[in-house]
Amino acid sequence: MIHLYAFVLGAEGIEELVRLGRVEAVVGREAVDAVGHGLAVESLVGRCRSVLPVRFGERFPDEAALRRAVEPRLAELERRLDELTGCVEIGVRVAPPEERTAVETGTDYMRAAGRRQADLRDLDRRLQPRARKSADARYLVARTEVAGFAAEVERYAREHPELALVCTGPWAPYTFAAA
Amino acid sequence: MAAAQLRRDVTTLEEQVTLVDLVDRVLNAGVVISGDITLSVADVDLVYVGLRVLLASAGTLDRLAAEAAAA
Repeated sequence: MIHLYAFVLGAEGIEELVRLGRVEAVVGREAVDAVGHGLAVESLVGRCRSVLPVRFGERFPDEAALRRAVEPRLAELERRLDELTGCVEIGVRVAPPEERTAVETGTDYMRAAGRRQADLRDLDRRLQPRARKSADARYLVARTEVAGFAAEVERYAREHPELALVCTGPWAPYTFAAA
Repeated sequence: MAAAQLRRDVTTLEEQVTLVDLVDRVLNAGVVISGDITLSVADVDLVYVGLRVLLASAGTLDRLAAEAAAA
């Protein structure tokens, strides 16, 4: 059984590759769980020019079956890899813990959730200019812009000390892989 | 892949939040090649929806985020 982790361009020092023209598929011969899959994909970020993550659970009986499944979509995969070159994903969340403990009714909960959404939209307007794309508080950011992006989140956090901002990344661009 | 080693090192709350983010991405995003996907843990096949609820429920995510913020 072959497990598919990602498609990449410009791989360096990666052992298990299936070459599909310019694109290469990173695969594993042994089954891993979801966390193992994620860690494997993240480990590719520094070692490839571009990484297109594959959703957990894609597996094929052998290399021939993998090629048959992928080859009709190779041009599309190559185009996406070119678009994502030099980019990473950053996630942002707002979590106000003090409200959580005070919440007693469903109405209070929904109000708190609504405020959290409004906070995120406000922050989103600040972050948009620094991102190539965005979706649901996840941002596609050029690697060279990551420091600037993080600094903007930091500034927003200082202006809004009542919010608990959680910023994670840089990730392989999962959220933008299928777009 | 040193996945097992890395996982043992994931001990702090902040890292646990990141772990939830990781699992959420792995299950909900990324390229899909074959339409028919079977997920398995330790070679036991699971229904997709069941696994997603188990590993990345919104409640767990919120709790971890809140605990990390309080720490």
